[in-house]
Amino acid sequence: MGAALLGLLGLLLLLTGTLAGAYREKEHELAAEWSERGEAALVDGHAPEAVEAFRTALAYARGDERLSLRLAQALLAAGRSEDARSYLLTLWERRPGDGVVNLELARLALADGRLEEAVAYYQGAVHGVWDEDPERRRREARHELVALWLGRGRKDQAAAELIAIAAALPPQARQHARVGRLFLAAGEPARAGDVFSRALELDARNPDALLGAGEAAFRLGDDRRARTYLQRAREAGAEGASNLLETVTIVSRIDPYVPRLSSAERRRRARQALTVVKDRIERCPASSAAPEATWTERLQALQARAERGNQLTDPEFVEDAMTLVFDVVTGTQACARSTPGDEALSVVEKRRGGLSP
Amino acid sequence: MNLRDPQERLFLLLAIFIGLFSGSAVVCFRVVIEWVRIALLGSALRPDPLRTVLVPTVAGLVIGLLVAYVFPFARGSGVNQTKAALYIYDGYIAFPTVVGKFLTSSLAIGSGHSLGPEDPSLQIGAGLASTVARGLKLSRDKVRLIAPLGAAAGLSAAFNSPIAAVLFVIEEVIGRWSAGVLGAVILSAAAGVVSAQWFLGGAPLFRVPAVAFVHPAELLGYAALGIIGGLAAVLFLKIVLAARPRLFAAPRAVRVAQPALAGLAIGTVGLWFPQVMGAGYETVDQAVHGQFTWQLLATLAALKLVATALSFSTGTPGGLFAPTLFMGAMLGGAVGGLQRTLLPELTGPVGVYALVGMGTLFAGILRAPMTSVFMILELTGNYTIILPVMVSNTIAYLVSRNLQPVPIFDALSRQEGLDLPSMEEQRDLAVLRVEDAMRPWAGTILPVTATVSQVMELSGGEALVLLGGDGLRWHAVRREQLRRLAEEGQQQRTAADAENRLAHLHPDQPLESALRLLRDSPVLPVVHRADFGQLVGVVALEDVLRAYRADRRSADRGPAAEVRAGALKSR
Repeated sequence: MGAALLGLLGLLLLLTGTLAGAYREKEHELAAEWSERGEAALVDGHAPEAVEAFRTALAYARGDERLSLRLAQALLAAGRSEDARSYLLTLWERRPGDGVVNLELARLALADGRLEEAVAYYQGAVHGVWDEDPERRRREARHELVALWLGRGRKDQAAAELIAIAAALPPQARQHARVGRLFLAAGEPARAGDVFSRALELDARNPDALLGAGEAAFRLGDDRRARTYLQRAREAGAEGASNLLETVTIVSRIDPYVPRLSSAERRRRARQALTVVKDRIERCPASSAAPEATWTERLQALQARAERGNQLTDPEFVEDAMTLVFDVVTGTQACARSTPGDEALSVVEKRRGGLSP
Repeated sequence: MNLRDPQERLFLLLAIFIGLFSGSAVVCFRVVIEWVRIALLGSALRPDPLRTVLVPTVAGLVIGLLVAYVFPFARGSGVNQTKAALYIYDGYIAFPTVVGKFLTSSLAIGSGHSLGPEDPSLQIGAGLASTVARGLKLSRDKVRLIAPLGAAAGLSAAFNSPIAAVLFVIEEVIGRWSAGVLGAVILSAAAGVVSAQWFLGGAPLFRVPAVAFVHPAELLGYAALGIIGGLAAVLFLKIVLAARPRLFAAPRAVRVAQPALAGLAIGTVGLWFPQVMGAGYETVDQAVHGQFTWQLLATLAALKLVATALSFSTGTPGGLFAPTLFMGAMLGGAVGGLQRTLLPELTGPVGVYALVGMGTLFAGILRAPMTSVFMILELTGNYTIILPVMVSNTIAYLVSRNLQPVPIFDALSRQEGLDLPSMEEQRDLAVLRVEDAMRPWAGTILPVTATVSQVMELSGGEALVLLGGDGLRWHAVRREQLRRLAEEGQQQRTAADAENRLAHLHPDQPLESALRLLRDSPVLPVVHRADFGQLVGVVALEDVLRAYRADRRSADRGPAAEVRAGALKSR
């Protein structure tokens, strides 16, 4: 009897195994089918359908973390960030080192204004495990973290992340140019210059690298080098190169504070600055604190002094002229435009104030 | 359980065998339910409208016919039927009943009736165990013991949670913690889970999100959930207990049609709320992930309550576990969502409330408080929520007990004219102790060394004299015995030698131990635990009987007794 029962148990186990195996196969088929539908719906921009499809797929592949993640991403695409967060947190509990999960959670936290949490998740993404192309995905995560810091004016933090990115950049001029641009945004023109130089080593005609190198040199006060790069950038078709070149050219004409200039050259540049600021006075309405009439009178008086005297007879001319220039720049800040002339005036003012342009 | 006994060792092996057997059968049951669902309703979570209405209706008709004409013992959840088999039929469950339960429950749950597979799994497991035991020609006692092993294996395979299965079988089916059965039940439940995990994988029933208990003040919220959950449980119980006898009293033709009508109603609701159809695990999963608004959660809880009451009251085969968890998750989520709207600072994630709500309704409806706590911990694998679970479950249990004194399984069996032992009532029975029956000894106590003549002289004509006080032994000597010895000229003999040494009792011992020890002794001494020579009182047979009579009178006045009397009168 015992043997018969053992045989019966064996039969039952065999039957159960066959039935369960067949069902598991069916589940795999259904999960794959619904997953495909979800992917297609996402591609077509039908996020709610994608949510339903991934949810159904997940019902046939319980615990499938890829599907859970896709469901969370579909929920995000459908604008249901709270729902997505719940799934992402479940995934994070299981895989705290997963790069994608950390990145999505970081984005959610950032959208909700939870900065510390966002940074922690971004760090998780940066140091996390990525199934595909890990170096690139980690770099992209770090780029998002840089954007976060820059968006909040935390340039030091951004620069720290950029240094890490720059240290492991692939040999691609485009990537270097991108990082150089961010160094400029983080107020690190010297590091930006280095990265742009490396980009130009990789591709000497890269327009972004040429433009960036020109801007970095300009910010560092090396107008001559800046002009050289910007001319090459303009030739390479870099957008904005012409404007920046013009600004650099104007600055080169009107900045009397460049070291090792002769007195005559300083006076000539101050006169040029008066010419540029005249246009600003005519264009911009005067504020009550600094009436246009007063600026015009001071301008006319200075122009008269420029005509009459020279460096020996009027040694105060340069200082008086630049004082007027800076008064006008400060007083008409609101009406400043991104024209090369206005940009140039701002740069000179900043340089005078010891600030990097 | 004595492991030196080969019979006992064989019994433990048999428990594992039963566990594998029942667990595998329940795996088949779960798989068949899914096949039926996919075949009848399609693979989408939201079936097309025509199927949504037609499938549960037509399936209901087939089920009605099967239950009426082929498998009459397959109706209901399965828990009561298992208890009835255990207490009335010596553990006998007919194999056709197992087959019927398997087929009709698969069809009912797979076609979208609002029922779950766990309770039928319990009966299928118990039925297979009973069949195996009979096949092995085991004794009646062993057959009676083996059915709960199968029940535990079936439940653990269905739920993938062995602790909850063991606790439920102990709390609801066996009703007592007996070392002899416990080991076998645990082995069987473990074997059941092993077979389920072997064939279906170890994934938990629900994917539980990261949950946390925000602030101690939040316990007030969980207390509110306990009260609301308790009231919802009572509402469900009242509806089922009121509807069921009325529906069963209908003519046979109408009874056959009842599952179809229930299916039609559920299918119609399913057009707008397909979540209420079937066991609803996927929806519970979404609720614990905070996927619904509190208004939708409340609506789903209410609709599921009505749908389950309809399915269950019409006798459609299927269990209450899954619908109870569903209602609890929705209600918990709704309460959590509402609290989050009103007190966002003090309320944790809605998913935690959904999890706690599952246990709350389980405690309120199925009235297995220990199971309800451990089940949630086992399903979630998260012990940080133990405090809210305990608070909420206990309150719901107390609310339910006060407003519906008789638990659902007991009330259902009494409606069917069966007076099965109520585990809750048994738990409530105050155990009478020796101190409840003992009385002070007013007679003489003499040293055990006293001679017959000394005793006769010093006892002053008392009918019974106690000899003792040396802390080692007590004797009771009757007057007539002493007189007989004196007549035989044995006046100098030690009186204690004339009677056997008495067993002694302590005040805190159960009174039934006095009954076992009294035998021919006129009284038993009740002595201090730290000083056996110090007499606290004595107990005689009439004292014991008086204590039992007094206790019986108070039990007969209780609410459960009134309900039982009413049910028996209506037979």
